[in-house]
Amino acid sequence: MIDDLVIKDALHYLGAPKEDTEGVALVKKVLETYRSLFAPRHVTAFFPVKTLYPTITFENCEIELTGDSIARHFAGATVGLFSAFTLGAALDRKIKELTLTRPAEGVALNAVASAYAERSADDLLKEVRLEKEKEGFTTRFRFCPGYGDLPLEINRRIIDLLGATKKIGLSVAPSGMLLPVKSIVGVTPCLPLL
Amino acid sequence: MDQFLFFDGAMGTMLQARGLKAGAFPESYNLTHPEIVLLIHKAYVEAGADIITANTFGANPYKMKGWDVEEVIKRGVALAKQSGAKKVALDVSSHGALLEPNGSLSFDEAYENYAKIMRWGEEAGADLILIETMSDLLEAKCALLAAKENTSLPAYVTMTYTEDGRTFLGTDPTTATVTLCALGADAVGINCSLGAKDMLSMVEEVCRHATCPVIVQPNAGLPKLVKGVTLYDDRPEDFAQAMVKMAEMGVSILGGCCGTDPSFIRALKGALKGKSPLHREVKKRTVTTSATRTVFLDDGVKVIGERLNPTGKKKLKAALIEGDMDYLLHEAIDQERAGADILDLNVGLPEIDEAATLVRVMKEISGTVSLPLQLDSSSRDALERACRLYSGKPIINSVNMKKESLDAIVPIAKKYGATLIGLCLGETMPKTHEERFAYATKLVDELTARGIDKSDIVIDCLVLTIATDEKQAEETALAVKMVTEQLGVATVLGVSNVSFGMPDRLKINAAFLSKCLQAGLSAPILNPLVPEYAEVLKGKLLSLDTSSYFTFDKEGAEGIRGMIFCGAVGGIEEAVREAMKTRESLDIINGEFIPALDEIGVKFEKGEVFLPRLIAAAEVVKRGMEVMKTGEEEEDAAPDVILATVKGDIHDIGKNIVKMLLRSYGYRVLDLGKDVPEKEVVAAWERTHAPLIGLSALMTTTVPAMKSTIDALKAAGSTAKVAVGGAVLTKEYAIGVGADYYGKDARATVKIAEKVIKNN
Repeated sequence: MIDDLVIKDALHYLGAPKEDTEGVALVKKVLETYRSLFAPRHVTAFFPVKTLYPTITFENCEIELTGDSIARHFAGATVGLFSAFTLGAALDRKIKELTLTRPAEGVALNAVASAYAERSADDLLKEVRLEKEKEGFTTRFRFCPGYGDLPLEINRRIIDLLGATKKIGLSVAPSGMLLPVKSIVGVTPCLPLL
Repeated sequence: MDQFLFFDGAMGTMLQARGLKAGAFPESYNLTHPEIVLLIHKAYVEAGADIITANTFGANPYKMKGWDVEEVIKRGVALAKQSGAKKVALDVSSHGALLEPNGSLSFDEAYENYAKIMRWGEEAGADLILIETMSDLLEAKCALLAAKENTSLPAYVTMTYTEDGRTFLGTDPTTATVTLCALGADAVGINCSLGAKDMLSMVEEVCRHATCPVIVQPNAGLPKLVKGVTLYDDRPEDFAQAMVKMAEMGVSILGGCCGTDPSFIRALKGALKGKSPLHREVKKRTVTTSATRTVFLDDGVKVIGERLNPTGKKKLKAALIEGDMDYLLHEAIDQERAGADILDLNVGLPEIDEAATLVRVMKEISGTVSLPLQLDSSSRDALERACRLYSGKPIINSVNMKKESLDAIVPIAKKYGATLIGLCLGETMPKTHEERFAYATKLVDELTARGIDKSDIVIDCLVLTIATDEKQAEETALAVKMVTEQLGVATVLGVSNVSFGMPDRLKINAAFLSKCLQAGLSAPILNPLVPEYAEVLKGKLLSLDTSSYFTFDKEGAEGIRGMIFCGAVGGIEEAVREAMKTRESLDIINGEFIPALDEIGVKFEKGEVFLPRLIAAAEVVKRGMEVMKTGEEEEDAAPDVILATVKGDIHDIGKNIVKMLLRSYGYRVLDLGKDVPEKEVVAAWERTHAPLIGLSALMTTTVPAMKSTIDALKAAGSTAKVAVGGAVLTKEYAIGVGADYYGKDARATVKIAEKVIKNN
């Protein structure tokens, strides 16, 4: 199931219509060939919201979320679900190698890996969200640093908060870029069902 | 070790249980809540820990921005000492950012941070340094070097692995163990990530390769997220039971990591009460590593790819000058795909900064290709810098028996734990297998006396071309056999050198490779993309019969010209004596010798005959000339040409061929030899005022010596024309070094001599 979605998304990233049989074949081929390099790992943690205004803060942790877009997204939330996900460093290496030696495969793998990261992170997060929903919450979508006006710099704080460097090997460059590249850091608002 | 050493257990999870907020720096508690930190330390001392780890894991100026990190560290160590611990370890870990080439943090910046941390720790009274929870082997090396270079404390290093047996960056336990032991770690091992029973096979791997004590600090089981909280499910007795198994494998330093508490240490100590550490016998292996791969050179034939070397490769040379890393990476990837086990990397070009380029290319390749690298340079600075920044245990290519080479290279190999190739060469060039073996023996003795372990020595028996001496292939192979059987060290050879100047190079190389493999060669340096070599490496046997290249068709070997043309040595003296009855010597030279040499020279230029034939013709002429000598020649007559192989270069085969051919043409040649300093060339010209000076260099690294020699000649007011030649030379280089002529080969140099001396 995830494969179909990954192929669909990857073709979209590549700007290839689904009628592009060569494109579809290439995307399928790289997904099959390099699947063993995908090493998804994630770490998550819930923190009760302490304040929503003027900034969003949480109990038992020192992180602070700023900006209008995250404020709108968190309206009414009482819990924040922080998450970090990565597909691992081996994939970055292979994308670099293929981009040099077999550019078409390199580009396709890059797109497939991005699509796989998104879908796979969503799947893993879904299980955690379902657990929360059983406790009487509903959740909105995962919001990532860089969306709207939530600064990229917050990546490092979330990674530290989750101990993601130690637990899943995720780190962040001074520019705010995540390493390994195919990684996702985000925060999901959880709202009590009325 | 006579007794087990017990470390403490977790600090971070203990602090969280006492109110530390998520995302806050646990180390900040050294300043804000010292009583809690002290309480935890004391609990571990009471549980029986010998070594208390200071609360300094993340205390790094890179991470704790806005904090007085020196104070955090010093207070941390002081609190650990205050607990009554027998010994205190300064705790050091990752920056939380990846080093180049995987990330953007530079090695030097990371080193500076670590150096400060190590110094502060020692100043505060730490007894040892624990570098732990490392995923990046290069960062672990950086921290270990900082500990070694800035303190006198022992340094233990532990890496953290996932369930698949590798760190997040792909390093396996064997690779980390081999590399860190080579760098002089005082103990190596594993911590964090997994529970004790989950890491048994990895611990066994570490014990198999560690030449120093092994340390293990597992978590209290695998972390599990329950209702948003991380929990560890091993009980102290489960933990202790698995740790006993590790002790039986040879682990002698034990403690706990995340999720453990004093009860785990108490259980561990109780389980090992009355027991002693196992005495491990670890055989030192001849080995090289990258960050993610280990290659043993004492276990089957290993191929060293030769394509990353600009000698004779125009495109690679251009790529290096232009900084075209994609081209270089292509070459590296192609060789890896073709089955190379190790890549030789040489970037020596006179027009680039070799040290900076070697490091840059090394980083790029290491970030893309997983093969270990053989760093190939004669520049001490380039090797020092590259070895320092290399993620793994490199091979250094090479050191020879010259004192300056030993003095420059051995300390680098020793400091960075590199495997070192000893080239059978010194003040003289060995020609026979006995001479090669004598050099190999001296190298092993000298290198071990200078502190290099025998397992870290690989011998290069030196391949010389058969074009000038047919026996060289046999001599080299015999030397390989002797070195393998009698010295018991691994061997390498630059295979293709054997056919320099010959036709059918691939055929000769493949047969030579087959011969050397049968003699026991460990690691041929060759182009792995050549199918002929691949077949030999798979076991195809070839015999090396070079006789056809040295036996020339004697048909038409009539008369002096015919004999010269066919390289027929027998009978030339008699033919010349006969001719001298009716003709003047000069007439024989101009009418027979020179036209024959010209004819074969033209065929050589066209590629119709090869070097052995040209040399054979010159040999025939030489014998003919001997007959003409009356004993009244002016021995002191001024030379027409001065020849020298420049300073730093001892490769003189090409220069000797030029000398032979020039003399065949009747030119008087003063040969100054090899490794000739500038001042000797200047002095020879001042003494003789020869109209032509020929300088040769084989290595890219000695091309600058050509320039300095030419500059010195000009400064001395020399009016001589200078011709340069050698395998790495090009017309562009010749212009670059300020020469008047480029002698592509011996034949071209004769033409230059004709032109210069005629005009003189």
